[in-house]
Amino acid sequence: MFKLLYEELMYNNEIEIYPDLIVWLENRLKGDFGRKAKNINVLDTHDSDLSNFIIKLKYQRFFPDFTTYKIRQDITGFIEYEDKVELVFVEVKIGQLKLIDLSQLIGYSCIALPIFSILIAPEGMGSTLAKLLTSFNRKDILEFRPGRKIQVLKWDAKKQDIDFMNSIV
Amino acid sequence: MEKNKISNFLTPDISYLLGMITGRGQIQYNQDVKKIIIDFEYKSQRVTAGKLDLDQKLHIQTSLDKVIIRLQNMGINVVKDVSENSISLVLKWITEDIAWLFIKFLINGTKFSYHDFEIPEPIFESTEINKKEFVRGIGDVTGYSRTSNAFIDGRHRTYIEITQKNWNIPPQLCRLLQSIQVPIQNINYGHPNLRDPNNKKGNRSWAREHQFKINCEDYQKIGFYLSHKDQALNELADINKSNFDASIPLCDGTTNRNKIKAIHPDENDSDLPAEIKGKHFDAYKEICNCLNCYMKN
Repeated sequence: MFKLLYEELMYNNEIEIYPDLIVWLENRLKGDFGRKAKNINVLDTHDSDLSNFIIKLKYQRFFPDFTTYKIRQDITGFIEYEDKVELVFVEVKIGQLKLIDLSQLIGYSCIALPIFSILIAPEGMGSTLAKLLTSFNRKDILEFRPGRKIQVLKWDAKKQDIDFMNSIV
Repeated sequence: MEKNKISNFLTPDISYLLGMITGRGQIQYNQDVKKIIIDFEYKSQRVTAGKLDLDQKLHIQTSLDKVIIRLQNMGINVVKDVSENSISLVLKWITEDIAWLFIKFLINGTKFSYHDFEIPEPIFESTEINKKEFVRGIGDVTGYSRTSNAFIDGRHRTYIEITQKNWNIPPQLCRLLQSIQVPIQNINYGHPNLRDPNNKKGNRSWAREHQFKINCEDYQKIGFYLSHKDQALNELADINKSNFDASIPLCDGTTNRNKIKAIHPDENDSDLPAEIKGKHFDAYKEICNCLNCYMKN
């Protein structure tokens, strides 16, 4: 309880969490894909459509349907290779993660097909979502395409890292 | 095309498990039994830190439920074994399956307990996330943030306590912590020159665990999964943040201590490893150097 209150005080809204998460995700993507990727960019993309960022980064040729990407992800990772660019979506919430948050992210992920997506909050999963994913073990709903999944994570502000004990990776 | 490396197969879950095994794990292995036992020891029921007064046993038991679920999700058969002064996780295998062989390979096939385990080499080649999870695994079984751990200036410290029999781990753990930018304030080796410099205590009282001393605010980026340890850490780190501004640098391998210590008769003790047996040390970094410090060798 003490810890929860403290973390709530650390961030007043979702936007305040973005800088910490951008640093963390960039570090993670560089660790996982840095050896093969040409360039890795993690951006705050909450205030404009994804299609606009694709234009800005000159990635149009890698996304034939990019004009239809009228979606706003809080944070997006762009992993650039010689012949392709892969996306990672992050949806951030200030309160507990709810089923509706997951549903929205599944929808957006089905449109632009990131290699994986992250639903994340300092408070972690709410009881309904936790019951569905852990007690009833319905992790199948996290897979929006074969091999492409949504990770449901709890952010630990003190560690500036994931609380892996309370996350589904 | 890049070759497959073992470090590419490490996950945060495996890294955390390896950390716990390295810190307090023991392997029981024969034709009938294949077990790994990880001990979570505690000396007293209650633990205090700043304003906190916590029931240690209760916190360990509750926190371990999450650890058990995490291990079960990896397909490992695990049970909690509670005794008077220790709680253990017992990981059991009926057959030598791939998980058993992989873990055994990683923690060095011929070694059987935390008294002689080493940090698996793939951990050093792995991602920062995996390195941190490995250290969390070690910390959950060997780390303590106690009020009594404070330095003379009052700055609170977390101790990682490595069994005194194991002289492999200290330089390896130091290298790992440095690679994730966690500065170590001091390593108090279980050596007569450091623990009983004036030969006043006698009775081999110096032969106690090696203590890694890390300022609490620096250890916060690692933290603990055991709730009472994490709460104590955060409490003491907050006190440090209110009282101290300057952070300490990472070790650059140089020794700046000039004080000369007296010769101790136990410098030749038969339990000291060959690398340091018969040698005299005035500073802990001189021991690090003999133990193959990565910065010097």
